[in-house]
Amino acid sequence: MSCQYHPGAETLLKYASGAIGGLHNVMLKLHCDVCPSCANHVAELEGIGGQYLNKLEGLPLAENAFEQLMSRIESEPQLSTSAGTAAEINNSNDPTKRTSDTDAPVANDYLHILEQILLKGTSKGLNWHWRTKRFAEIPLPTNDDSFDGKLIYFKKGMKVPQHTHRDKEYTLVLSGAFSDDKGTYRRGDYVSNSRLDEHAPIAESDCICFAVTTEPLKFTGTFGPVLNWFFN
Amino acid sequence: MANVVAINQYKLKRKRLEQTTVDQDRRVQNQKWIECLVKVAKTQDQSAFQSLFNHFGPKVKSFYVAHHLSPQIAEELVQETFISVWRYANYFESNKGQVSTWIYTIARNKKLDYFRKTNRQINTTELISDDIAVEPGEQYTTRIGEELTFFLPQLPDEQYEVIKKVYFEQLSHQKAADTLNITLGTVKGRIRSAVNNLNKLMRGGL
Repeated sequence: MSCQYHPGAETLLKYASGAIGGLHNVMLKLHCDVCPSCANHVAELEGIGGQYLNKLEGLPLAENAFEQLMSRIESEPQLSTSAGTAAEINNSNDPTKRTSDTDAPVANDYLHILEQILLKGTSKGLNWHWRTKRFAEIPLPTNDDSFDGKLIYFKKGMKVPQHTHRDKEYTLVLSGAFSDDKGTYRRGDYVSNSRLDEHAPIAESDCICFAVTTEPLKFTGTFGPVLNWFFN
Repeated sequence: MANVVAINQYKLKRKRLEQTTVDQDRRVQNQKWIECLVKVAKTQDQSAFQSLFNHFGPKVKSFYVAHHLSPQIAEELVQETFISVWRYANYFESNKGQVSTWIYTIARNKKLDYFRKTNRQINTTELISDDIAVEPGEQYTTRIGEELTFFLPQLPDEQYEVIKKVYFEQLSHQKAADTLNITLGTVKGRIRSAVNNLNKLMRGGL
């Protein structure tokens, strides 16, 4: 089933032009993996980048740059060669779809786990931190101070107390579904909430979400202060 | 309503017709680069690879320098970009478009990767329209079974230019205004209109 909720044009523009990094970038990549419509929009926007590159006046490279390049290619192990077709090679190696997989990547460490849940529906072996009987999470460390990432598990019927966001929260449904007063969000749906939105989501089925916030969420109901302490 | 659709289609056709000559040149050029990539993918042809490198390498360096990286780092990232071009040439789908776009996406990802490894913040420019993109109601329901249509040719040229300058060239609003010889207010207005139009176009037409 295709996704119903998508990132807006500006988010896709920022993503296509490389202005979104870290976990938010991972989230948008995952959404595009399951949303052909957004993947096509991004590809078209990336065309602006290609046109920009085409028109750029080049800067001279070091004299032996090509020789240096060839010797690096020859000395580094081949990951893929002409012998394999694209289909035979793990698609996640595609350099246009993800940033490099070498040298201590932070965000990409999680990419594999998140892909497994989203694409294959497998979430076994994850070290959930149970916060209540029906709610668990796994913090996703990021080297970007301005973002906080979490994997969240809600059991069916779990109602998250009414809350607002101090800044922005982006959520991608990896499996299951949840709803709030604005709609029902299913696998692949991308939801963004700003500090203006107050909502009380409820899990329609066992649900795993990937959430990225610029600030921790803030509970606003009667028990808000207690919950703020508890959840953060 | 039918009239509006007809007018839009007419405008689009005319615009496409005007672009035909320019496109013709670009297509011929692109075809040449596609052939080079195919040779790299199939026979690991070094001279085809060198042609690609000689043409795109200096442009990729220029891209990194324009995005505030030092010439030394830019040079290193050019190397990394072309190592990927060599290794993943078989991923390029010639039916999907421009070689320049493919190389651009690799270069962009290398830049993001470099920023992540060095814990450097991404320069996100001054995005006044940020609130538009994430305000409630921004999310929309896609039409199921929607046919693939190209929306960029429908964007007014002046809005396309501003989008290119502000997002892809990452110019500040003021610099974009200076380059395009328009006021700062006009730049902001055009970004706002462009983002609004793109949101509508992506939903299936203005």
